[in-house]
Amino acid sequence: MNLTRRDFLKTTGLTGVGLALASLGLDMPKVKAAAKEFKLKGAREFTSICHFCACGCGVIGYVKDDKLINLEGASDNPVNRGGLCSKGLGYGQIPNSDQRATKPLYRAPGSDHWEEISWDEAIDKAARALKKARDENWKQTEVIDGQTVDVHRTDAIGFIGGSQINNEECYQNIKMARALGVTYIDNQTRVCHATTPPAMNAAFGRGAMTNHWGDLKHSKLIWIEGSNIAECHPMGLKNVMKAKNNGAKIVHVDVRYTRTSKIADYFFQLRPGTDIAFLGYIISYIIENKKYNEDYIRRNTNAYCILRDDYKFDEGIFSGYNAEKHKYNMETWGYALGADKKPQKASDLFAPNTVMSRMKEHFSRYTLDKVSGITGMSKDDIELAAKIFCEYSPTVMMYALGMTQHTVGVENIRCFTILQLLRGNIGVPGGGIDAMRGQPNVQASTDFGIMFQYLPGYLSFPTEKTNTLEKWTRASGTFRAKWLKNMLKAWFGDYATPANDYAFNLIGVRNSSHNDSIYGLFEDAYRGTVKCLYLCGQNPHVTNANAGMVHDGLCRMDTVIAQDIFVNETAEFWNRPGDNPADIQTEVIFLPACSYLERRGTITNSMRMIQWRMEGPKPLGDSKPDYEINNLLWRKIRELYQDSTDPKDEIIQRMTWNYSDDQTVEDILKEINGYDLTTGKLVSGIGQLKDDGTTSSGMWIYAGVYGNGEHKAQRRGQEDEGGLGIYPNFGWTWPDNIHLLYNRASCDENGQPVDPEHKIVWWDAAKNRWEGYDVPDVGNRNAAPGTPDGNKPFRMTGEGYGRLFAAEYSDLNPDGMTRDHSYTPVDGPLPEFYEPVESPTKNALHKDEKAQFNPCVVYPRLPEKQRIGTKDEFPYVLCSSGIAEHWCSGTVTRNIPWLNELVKEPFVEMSHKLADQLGVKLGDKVKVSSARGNVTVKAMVTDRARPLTINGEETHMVWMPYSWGFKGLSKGPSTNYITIDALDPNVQEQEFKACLVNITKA
Amino acid sequence: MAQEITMLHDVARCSACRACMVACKQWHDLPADMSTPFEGQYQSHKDLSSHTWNLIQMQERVDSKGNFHWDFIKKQCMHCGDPACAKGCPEEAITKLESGAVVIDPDKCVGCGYCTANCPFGIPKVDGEKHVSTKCDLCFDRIEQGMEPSCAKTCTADAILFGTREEMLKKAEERLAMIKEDHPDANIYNPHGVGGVHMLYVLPEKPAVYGLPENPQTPASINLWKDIVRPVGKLASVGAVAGVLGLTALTAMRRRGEK
Amino acid sequence: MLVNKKYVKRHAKGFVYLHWINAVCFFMLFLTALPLYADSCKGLYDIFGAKTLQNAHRFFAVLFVLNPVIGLITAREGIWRMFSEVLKFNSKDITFLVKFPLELIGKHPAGIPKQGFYNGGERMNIALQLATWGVLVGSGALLWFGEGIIDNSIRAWMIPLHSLCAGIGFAGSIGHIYLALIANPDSVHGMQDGTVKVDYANAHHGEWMDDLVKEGKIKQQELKEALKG
Ligand SMILES: Nc1nc2c(c(=O)[nH]1)N[C@H]1C(S)=C(S)[C@@H](COP(=O)(O)OP(=O)(O)OC[C@H]3O[C@@H](n4cnc5c(=O)[nH]c(N)nc54)[C@H](O)[C@@H]3O)O[C@H]1N2
Ligand SMILES: Nc1nc2c(c(=O)[nH]1)N[C@H]1C(S)=C(S)[C@@H](COP(=O)(O)OP(=O)(O)OC[C@H]3O[C@@H](n4cnc5c(=O)[nH]c(N)nc54)[C@H](O)[C@@H]3O)O[C@H]1N2
Ligand code: HEM
Ligand code: HEM
Ligand code: SF4
Ligand code: SF4
Ligand code: SF4
Ligand code: SF4
Ligand code: SF4
Ligand SMILES: [Mo]
Repeated sequence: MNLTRRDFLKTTGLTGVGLALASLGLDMPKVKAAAKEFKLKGAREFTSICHFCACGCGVIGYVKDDKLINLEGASDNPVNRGGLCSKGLGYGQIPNSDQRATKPLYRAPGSDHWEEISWDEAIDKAARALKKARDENWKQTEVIDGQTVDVHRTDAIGFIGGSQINNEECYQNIKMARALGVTYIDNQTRVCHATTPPAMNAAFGRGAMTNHWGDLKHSKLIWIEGSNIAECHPMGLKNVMKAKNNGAKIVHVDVRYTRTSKIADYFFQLRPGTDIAFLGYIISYIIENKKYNEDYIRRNTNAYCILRDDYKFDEGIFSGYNAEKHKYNMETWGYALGADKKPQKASDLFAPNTVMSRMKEHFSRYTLDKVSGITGMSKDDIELAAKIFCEYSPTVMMYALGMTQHTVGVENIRCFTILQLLRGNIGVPGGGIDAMRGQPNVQASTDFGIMFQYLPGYLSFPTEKTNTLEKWTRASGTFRAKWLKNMLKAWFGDYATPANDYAFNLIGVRNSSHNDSIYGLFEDAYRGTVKCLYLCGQNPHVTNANAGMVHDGLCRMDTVIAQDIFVNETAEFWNRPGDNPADIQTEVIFLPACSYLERRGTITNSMRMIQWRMEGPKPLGDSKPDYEINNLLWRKIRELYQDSTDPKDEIIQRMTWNYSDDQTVEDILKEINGYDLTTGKLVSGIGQLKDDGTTSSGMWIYAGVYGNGEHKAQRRGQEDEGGLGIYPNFGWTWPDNIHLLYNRASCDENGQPVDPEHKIVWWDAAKNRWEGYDVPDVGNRNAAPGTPDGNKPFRMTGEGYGRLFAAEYSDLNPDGMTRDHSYTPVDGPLPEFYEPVESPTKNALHKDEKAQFNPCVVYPRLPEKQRIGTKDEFPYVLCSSGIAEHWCSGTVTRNIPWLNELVKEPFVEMSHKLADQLGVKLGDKVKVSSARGNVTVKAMVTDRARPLTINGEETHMVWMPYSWGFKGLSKGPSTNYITIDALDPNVQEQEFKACLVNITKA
Repeated sequence: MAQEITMLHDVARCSACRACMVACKQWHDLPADMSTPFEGQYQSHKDLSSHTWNLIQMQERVDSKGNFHWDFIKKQCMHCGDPACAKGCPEEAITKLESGAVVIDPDKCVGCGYCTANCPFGIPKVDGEKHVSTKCDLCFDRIEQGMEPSCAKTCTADAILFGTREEMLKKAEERLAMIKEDHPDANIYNPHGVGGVHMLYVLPEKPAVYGLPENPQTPASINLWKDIVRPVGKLASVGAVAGVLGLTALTAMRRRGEK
Repeated sequence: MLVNKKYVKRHAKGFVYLHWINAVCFFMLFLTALPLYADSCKGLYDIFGAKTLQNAHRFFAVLFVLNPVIGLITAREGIWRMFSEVLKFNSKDITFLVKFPLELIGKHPAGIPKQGFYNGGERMNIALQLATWGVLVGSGALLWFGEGIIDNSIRAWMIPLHSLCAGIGFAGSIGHIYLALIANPDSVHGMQDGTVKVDYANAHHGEWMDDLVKEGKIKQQELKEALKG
């Protein structure tokens, strides 16, 4: 793509403040000091998207003599308007870093060093290792629940990573993995935001962040809970500050005082893992004091729906619990259905068994006394928070890991969805739930289904219960089956026909009761069943909870293939200080990728906006773009299998891979977008996809990104009709370029905006069509408000409206086939407070031991490796998370000197009171230990931290960043040697934010 | 006519994300400076250095009511209206540009450190290796090309603003009004003693809380030195030498006469 | 006892070294800092390099400070004498100073009272050099090491102070050198091997000679002979 000169001036900032200044006559007489040539003179400019957080900031780079000489924010990018945080800027040191791996490397079994090898050799070794593991460990059938099922897959290979590569590369990886029959497929989302999609999906029908960064300026109250936005989403903060200029208030609810608390108007502190108690009180407060938006909940939610009368809740346990399996049978969590099999509605909000009346009852237990005891917050503060919450509107709720990384992660977020639905804050400007995704492309790696339980586009991966297209459709609905068929057409081309169920059965089948997550992967490697790991831009040796488990698993594998821009700790696990490499027989093949600035492709940010990255400097040394490595690897694998007649290999031979060398990424994006196969043209959007095999689309939700042959991710349009702050012609946002999800909910029954001052979409009776500044979030733009299709504010749930109570529900077609199925969290239709698995106190809400922590959690899974620590031995609560100047495992940031000087090493943050108790002074070394391991770091003693009174007892919390390991320019102990790998039962996300530790002076 | 410009740091908004520190280093190709060891503190460097022209100071404070505060402020050259550094520079290596930027010319600077001693804010630092004085130059080269200073452009919290002087003075008043209610001591820091500054601050608390001098002055000693000591000294020295030479001649003549 | 019947012992060897090291340091300090002092001398920076000269200035500054410290061991007596002599400044010295200017052109006016070990002028010189030494060292040290420790509102005053003392010290030392080399060339001998001619000593430091006789350090007889010869 070519940007015009004018575009570049815009991205440089010259048409912003800059040009204004220049026109005011700022080109002043040159003093001698200026005689030095202007730094950027003669440099080649290119634009890209930052590779750290999912804010998705635009960058502009300058290349001279094939070296990057400057990197700064692109001023025309609506996300950041020229700003970049310390990391985004610091990345400027990566393309020239002498720490980068520039040659393929090989570590032989038992060896204590790397050898340089050629690309040919490296690809050959990698392909053969994958083939060997697959062929030798092929599982054609499996006995599941007493039945022999044809599963045609392998459990000997793991595919990890996806958030650090571009969309096209994600798509390549998932095709490779699924063609090989791999089930251990995972990316960062598991350890990060895995709990977000089910929670949001359960309420709204989609799992994503609802509003846009630019929309924040409309908010009157910005409720930040469980997010350190100032440090972790700095450009999110920049947008928050715009709201502040309009008079908005900022509330920060967190377990520690951070740089976010500093800029907030109100700060409330609670104990890690107790948000449900706190939010439960606010829900109760809203209901008791009638602070809900009655009009909104009537129009848009299931508040008036009547529940089955056998739905029960007692002592922390919902009806249908099976204590042995730690599982619920969800049947009783359904609606009282009418003759039409649709939910029945009462006319009185609090009629018996309405959702609202059951909610009122459920949350009435969250009294000030109880909640104060559980959270450690004063009763005054709790009440004040509830008052503030109800005082303003619209309110946006922003969160990230403080909510997600708990064994009750899904239910934490469910509280938000309930609150926002009650207050009428979903689908309106300035409202929404901004689930701020973490990794630069985690949104897309999740979209692309780099997760064991999905295919691209959130289509469930077949299990023994859904192992035919028919069964699959019955479970997921015809609505989604259509998208599946389009994907199968993209994957298997002409071979996929209605007659062979679009080759559905080429794809493997997983065991629904098996944990195929990254945690299951390393546990099974330790047990000896996983032989080969393909790792593409992830560093679990530093970032998985209970990371010792990762190490032990890696030691028992035959081959690790690591594709990364640096040799990270996972790739060099055999060289961990203190271990003897000779004892470790795993071979490691290292494939050097180039950095994002050195390659092109598209990337999707937290607000679902897909943006284009141009090529900057040439790849350093012999490193290559991931898409090129993927091409080499897959072509080699295909070559190895080309003559096979074994049916298990048919999928490999049939998987499409027709990408030209010079246009690989464009070719892939077109495949993702999809074609009308009858005309050969690129489809313009989801609406054009057909159910009959005449269209294809690699991933339905991205259909339209290359609509009609226009590469929409490359757009840089500055138009913003209606002043919404969404810039619809900048990049392209899935689905269908809708920026504010559920925007239909901002209109009344007649399709007219409830708040005319902030209108986004409306029914235009004259045109007989939905119109708007944003694309209307309606299934059919010609469906008038009065019609069933025109009255579905939450068209992606089975019911068509927002779900306060996550009832078990399938919406049926007239023919009785499932049309769509609503998601219900496995641990309850309503949020309930449970203690973290490792907790310093007894659950004050229920006496039943089974309900001390989430009754659906199964932990330990490997008792010898997963002990639960108790308060007597480990009296302090540890929370761990990121820090502004470093990034996740630190592989990248610890190789950026400008960032290392800002934060030099890991530490543990504690209050003066605790430090005094331990006899520790600022900067002293302390040993932090848990039931799983220990690390020694320096103490940061601060007034920011303070003890809380929990159920009458003084309780101390300490905090640690986790971004260190034994490689890189800044080395330090990995916090994750002590964290707990207890997992949320919905999505296997670990409890990083709360475990128990002891601290002693080192 | 060139425009007078000004930068503004809204201290209440700063999140200490320190992006501005990296931006400054990137634009000026400054290396990392690891001279301050980690001893449990958040602040990255004890002070500005020749490799760190922009430092976010981070301080904890508990006020008289027992409330906790975390104070951040961006330390860098103030670009004084009456810059002591420039006045006291024996080499005239420091120029105050029309824009208001006070800039050191590395080619003229001899690294004597007088600017370091004269600056009421202790800003300039002499680079040990290059032997020139260094400090924030307000990215004057960018400004000349119509670009914002690196740090201002990158700020993540809308805490650094940049524009014409009038505009910034107005913005400062606006920002002050926004915090005045919660911070009765809030003020705009634009000290007269140094001729006003082109790096304005909106401070929620009194300057001393942030380690800023309440009433900094362009030191009178510079004038004394420039206008009196140096000329008088030179005169005295030259006079002494001349006098002695004269006396020598006289003595010699007299002695010859005596003979 | 006189030396070679003609010379009287005046300065100890240690003191002589002390003096010359001090003298050399002083000039080197002045010269190395000259480009900062006078724009017309900037050429020195071009020739030697600013960094070299400034490092040299610091090098000599260290010597300049160390020299008298070492002197406390090697020339304690001389140093002590300087201090005590300055403190002895009296009315005779004033008379001396009033009549002294004629000496400047080598005349020997009448009525000058007999002078002690140091005459009024020398006592003045000592006082001046001691004071400038102190201030130069103090202000110089603050300029050098004071950054970040001492407030700049104080440090900024060190520059004029340092310059002032450098100027005064320099002017003073020029006068001093003139007196030593031109006006009283005989005195220089004292700064060579530590002795001065008896006749010079008697003429310029009569009281000192008297004291020496009184103390019996030299015999009346010796003295007379030497003066005659
Ligand atoms: N600088 C930087 N930025 C990053 C990252 C990084 O490593 N460094 N990582 C990126 C990634 S991958 C992600 S996912 C995001 C994460 O972004 P965030 O979620 O904002 O990051 P965290 O600091 O992990 O957690 C957020 C806050 O939750 C608080 N918290 C912990 N437990 C609880 C709790 O039980 N209740 C409440 N209310 N709060 C709690 C923590 O104290 C913390 O302040 O950031 C992304 N951005
Ligand atoms: N204790 C604790 N642990 C945590 C968390 C926590 O809050 N507390 N947070 C968790 C969260 S939210 C996350 S997302 C994870 C993150 O965990 P990881 O994903 O393991 O951490 P990253 O540092 O992002 O690892 C990315 C890897 O990708 C490589 N990479 C960078 N660019 C490219 C590229 O272009 N191509 C390729 N092939 N590789 C590239 C980097 O060099 C690095 O090795 O950490 C988790 N760990
Ligand atoms: C311990 C003793 C001394 C110290 C530590 C010291 C230190 C300094 C320093 C730091 C400077 C600033 C410039 C530079 O770095 O070169 C300076 C300047 C100067 N020094 Fe010294 N100095 C000392 C003694 C002297 C002496 C004995 C003289 C004079 C004879 C002298 C004369 C000067 C002059 C003339 C300048 C420049 C003054 C001006 O700016 O006008 N210094 N000195
Ligand atoms: C070429 C240079 C110099 C010569 C020839 C010279 C010579 C002398 C002589 C002959 C004396 C001994 C006088 C006596 O015995 O009564 C003396 C003393 C002394 N000199 Fe110098 N001197 C020189 C430079 C300096 C300098 C640069 C300084 C100080 C910065 C200095 C400081 C003193 C002092 C303090 C004394 C003792 C008191 C006095 O006699 O005035 N001299 N010098
Ligand atoms: S890390 Fe996030 S906020 Fe920082 S520059 Fe990159 S995308 Fe923007
Ligand atoms: S702050 Fe100091 S260095 Fe900056 S202009 Fe003022 S006097 Fe000069
Ligand atoms: S260090 Fe350089 S800029 Fe500073 S006063 Fe000396 S010559 Fe001038
Ligand atoms: S204005 Fe430029 S030189 Fe000054 S602190 Fe900001 S980035 Fe650095
Ligand atoms: S970039 Fe802005 S918010 Fe961040 S530290 Fe600098 S001034 Fe503060
Ligand atoms: Mo993450």
